[in-house]
Amino acid sequence: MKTKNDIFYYLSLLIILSLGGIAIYIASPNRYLQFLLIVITSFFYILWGILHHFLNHDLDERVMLEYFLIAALGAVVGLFILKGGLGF
Amino acid sequence: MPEFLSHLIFPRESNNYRAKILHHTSIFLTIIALLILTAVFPLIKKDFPSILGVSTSIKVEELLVLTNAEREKAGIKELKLDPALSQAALKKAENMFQMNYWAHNAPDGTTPWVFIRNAGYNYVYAGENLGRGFSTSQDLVNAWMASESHRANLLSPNFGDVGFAVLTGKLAGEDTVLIVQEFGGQNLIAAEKSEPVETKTLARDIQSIKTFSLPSPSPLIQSANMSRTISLAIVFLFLTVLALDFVKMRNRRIIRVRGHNLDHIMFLLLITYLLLIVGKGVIV
Repeated sequence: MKTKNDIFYYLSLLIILSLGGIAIYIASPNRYLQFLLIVITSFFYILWGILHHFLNHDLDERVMLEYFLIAALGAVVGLFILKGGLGF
Repeated sequence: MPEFLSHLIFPRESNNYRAKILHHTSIFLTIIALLILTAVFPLIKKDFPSILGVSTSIKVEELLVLTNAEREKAGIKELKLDPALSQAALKKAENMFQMNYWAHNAPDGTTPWVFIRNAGYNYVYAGENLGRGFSTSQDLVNAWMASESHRANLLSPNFGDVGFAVLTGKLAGEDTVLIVQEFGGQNLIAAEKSEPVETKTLARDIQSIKTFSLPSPSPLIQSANMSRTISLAIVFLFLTVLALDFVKMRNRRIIRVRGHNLDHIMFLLLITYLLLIVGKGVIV
């Protein structure tokens, strides 16, 4: 049962991330829109992480903070390459 | 040193069985470091453009050779570099930077043919290919060849002359390299192949012929490449440490109140994919 749930969880995450990736690809060469889409995808990643752990009954402040930090890391990497590297 | 590295990368007793690099403070410090770099890069680019900036290795001569190589493969007569068409390409590139657009037609409705006419090229057939953000001539020509409409221009037997411009500047707030390729045909040769996109059949007066532009001087470090390399190194480091942590904790069957490594790995793989596609060249 747990395995079945895991498949559902990871499939839903895969769909969220794939949609984000496709949208960012399509948004090229609009760098502003690409950055906005990275932020939106990161936001949905945090939401997904919280929901995932909430449904698993192991949601904790530290877990929420970890998802927030990893999502922020992803968004800041996007900002660095778009703003610092390409200079939008 | 190996002890410290092990503390950073491997889950063990000294780091409470979670690699130090995955601790909240470490991730937070990495974010701060990246934000500082994001703020510093534009300042260096502005004050020291010879050190950090936008550059391209694209050369007009290379573009001509590669274009003609594709035509030769298709059994079509090679194109000659025409100074008037190169001048038209330069004016078109300058116009895109000045009026801040990225298209064949300017926001005020000016078509590519106006630039060609104004440069003094008396055409019967004319065409235009545009590229932006490419770092090598081969990548750009490959992209043109992969697009049906650009390929049609490149291989059109109606054209006998070509002109190029490679210009760096700021477009929509972004430092970029624009490449303009203008085609022209002055003889009414019967075209057996299909009509290329962006082709006109109007003849105009010949005006004075001018020389074509040259690429801007290159900085020591390309900002786009540098930011991509730093970002990839950071993301790869986190991916590796997360994977090591995942395997080690699974083997030892240690249960922790933590986010799932697999989730983070999937998210960071998306970020890796973005690092590889963002900022790549585009054509219209």
